[in-house]
Amino acid sequence: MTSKSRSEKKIQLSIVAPDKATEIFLMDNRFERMQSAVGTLDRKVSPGLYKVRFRSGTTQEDRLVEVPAARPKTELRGKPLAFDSTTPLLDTRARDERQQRLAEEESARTHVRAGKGSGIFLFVRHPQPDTGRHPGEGVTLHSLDGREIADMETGGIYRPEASSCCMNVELAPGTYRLRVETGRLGTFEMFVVACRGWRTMLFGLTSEFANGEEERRASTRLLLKSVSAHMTKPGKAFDPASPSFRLAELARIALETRRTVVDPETFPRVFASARDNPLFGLYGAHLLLQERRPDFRVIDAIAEKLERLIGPHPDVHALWLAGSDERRRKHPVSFPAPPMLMRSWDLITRRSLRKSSIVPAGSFSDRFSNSLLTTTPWLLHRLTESGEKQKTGPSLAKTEEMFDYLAGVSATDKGFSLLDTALNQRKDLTQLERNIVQTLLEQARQSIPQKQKAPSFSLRELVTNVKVPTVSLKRSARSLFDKLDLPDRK
Amino acid sequence: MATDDCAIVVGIQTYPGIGSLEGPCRDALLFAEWLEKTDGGDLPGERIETCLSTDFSPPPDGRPEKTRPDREDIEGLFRPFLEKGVRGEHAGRRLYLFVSGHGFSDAAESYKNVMNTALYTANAGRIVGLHVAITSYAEWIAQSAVFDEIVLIMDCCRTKSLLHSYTCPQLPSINPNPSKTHAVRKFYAFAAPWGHAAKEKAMPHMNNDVYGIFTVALMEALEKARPNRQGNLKGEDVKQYIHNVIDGIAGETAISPPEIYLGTGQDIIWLKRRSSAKRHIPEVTIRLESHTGTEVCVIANGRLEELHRIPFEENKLLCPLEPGLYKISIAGTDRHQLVELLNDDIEITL
Repeated sequence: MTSKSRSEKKIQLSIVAPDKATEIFLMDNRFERMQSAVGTLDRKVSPGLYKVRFRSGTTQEDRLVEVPAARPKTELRGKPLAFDSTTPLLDTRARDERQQRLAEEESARTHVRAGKGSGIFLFVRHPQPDTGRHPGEGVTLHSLDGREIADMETGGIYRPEASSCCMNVELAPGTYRLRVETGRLGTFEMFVVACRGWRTMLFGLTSEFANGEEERRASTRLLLKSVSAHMTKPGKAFDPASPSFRLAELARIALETRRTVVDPETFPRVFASARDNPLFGLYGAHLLLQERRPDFRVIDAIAEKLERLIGPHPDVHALWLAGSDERRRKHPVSFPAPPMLMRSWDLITRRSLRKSSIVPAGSFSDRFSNSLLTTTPWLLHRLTESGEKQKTGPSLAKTEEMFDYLAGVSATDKGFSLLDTALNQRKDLTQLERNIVQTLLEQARQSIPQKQKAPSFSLRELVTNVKVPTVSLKRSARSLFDKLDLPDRK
Repeated sequence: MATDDCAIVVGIQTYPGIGSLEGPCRDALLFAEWLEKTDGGDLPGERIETCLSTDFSPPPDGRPEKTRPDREDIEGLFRPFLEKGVRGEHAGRRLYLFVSGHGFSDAAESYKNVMNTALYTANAGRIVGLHVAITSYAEWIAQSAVFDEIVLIMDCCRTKSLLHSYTCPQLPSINPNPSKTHAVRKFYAFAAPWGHAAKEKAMPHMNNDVYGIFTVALMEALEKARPNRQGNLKGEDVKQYIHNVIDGIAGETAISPPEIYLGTGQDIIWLKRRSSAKRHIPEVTIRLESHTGTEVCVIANGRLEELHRIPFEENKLLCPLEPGLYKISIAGTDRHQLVELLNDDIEITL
């Protein structure tokens, strides 16, 4: 028999995290997890001692709490955790006041005028104090067609004592390319969307991109995957204490680390309180999409709010591609320009299996995917010197047939060896072609032992693996056949 | 003795092309020592294959790309098990795979490869990221059911490289038996979550030598985590223990929490603690800021039930307590402290 009185005596325990994107874990006195939540955790518990873990980003802190029988309710409030933040926010590990002051002061000024209606603010800092090297070296901003708009070294403000630099550019709404030239390792780009009446703010850290001490000193550059993006109204100065920036920073880290820091029930309210930084809503919606059964009513409501707030934005449009056909029909979208987030790009490429024209042939979104880098959270690519000569691809059915043939080839010893040699020795394969060949080889390795026959080819799986829209696959199917000297199946 | 178990232990710290580390060889030796201990892995020495940076001399011409251990050195350690796998043979009960060094994760966010983690070999450069796809080997061995249990420990970064793709090795084709494959028990532990860096630091309680923070947490768990009533220390116990202590071990060093995967089958039993073995009961030293001779210490357990009431005969007292949460107070006052007791002795002042 268990003690009845003990099981009946329950006290309300309320745990409040320092912000709405901090995770809470409640453990009993045997250190076993009882419950987890985001932002707040309410639960009736037996009187006793409990361990509470708060987690912001990748930083966590434990607290012990006593729940006495004599009180009807016990509340525990967490203090802000100093997490690793790219944006120089208060109460984070990035708490250099000189950097915060520089961002605060210079974000209210315009350094480069290249158009009207929108803006992009760039802030780059060294993770460790370093007064000798300009953190903005090699960083330039370009229009989608490649025209240089601004150079951080010549157009921005550099404060050696703060090991950071920044540049505020006024420009027309649209999609831009943030380029970093790293020397021997190549030139990388991410995409930045500037919305009418808003300014996109990007904060980034530098990293070393080379071998050897000499070379290393000469090639410390902005690391694009470290970038943190926010949005504010133009002219509004950066506020290191901004709650919405803190939420957005934590949501971005969650996108990167695959954690869940938003709750479908509370997120609409949380976003309503943080609408001065719409990118928080965007990150949150993408986090909600990663749930096993996403609540599309909540995601729809967020996407509609975002559209009203910031106007057309490819990452918001991408939100309509998940879920039911009805959602997609209501919001016909296409993507001539790429989105900012890799998750948006995943949705686009998957949708292209059903509707190839979602990425118009010959558009920038089609062309750049030859050199796509599979990283998160941002969609990045490596700039190739000579643009691939664009060929028109076959139909989707034909493409599938061609890849099916190629998969069959890869399942034979001779074919496997042909593709393996091509992968290791051919210098003329594009990054996309290499990724395709690698996927086919991997598929062959996994499937042969199980089925003892040519692996069944799945275009869906290929798209999931190489992360490009079908329009780019069509093109690559033909060029691969040409380069590998395979029988003409055009 | 665990004569049926095998281990591959790798520690690479000399990386002229990407920057050397200090701890991996010590980490590997620490784990190898535990493997041989009778109250540890209890493996015969000859069943432990080690491959350490310190086993190799620097290349005579000083060229980074000639530094060892290289891919061949490490992949060669797996070859006997691959051969057994191809022949459909069983090699033993458990395989331990311990690696410490620089590493990276598969950058693709595909559902298929979120665990893929590679160890850079000593001749890796920033451009040519030579590596061994350790998780692919572990999974192949699991698929082929060469062992009943796989313990994989990777104390290395799992950051995503822009330039290096996780490249699956040329593993032989097999025809696995799904029921055997499914029955293989796993304990896969990564020092950092996907996309994040693992850290090493000088450990004050270990002669100030540098070790991987995760390895130290793991070794502490293996030594001190509480087993169940039968004395079995399970994978879940080790996992919980590591999560509870790793922040304390890291101290001022910022770390990301480790990722530990216990598989979908039965949990492994790391070891069985002998009932005769003397178990350490942690002690709490309770000091008084001022002692009048009338103070009485009250110790309550995690359910707030009073366990002890002890008068202070001097300004401190010692009390052994089982691991858990406690409230320690001075009777008749509001002076108290909530205490989390794991396995180490602690000291508090009231």
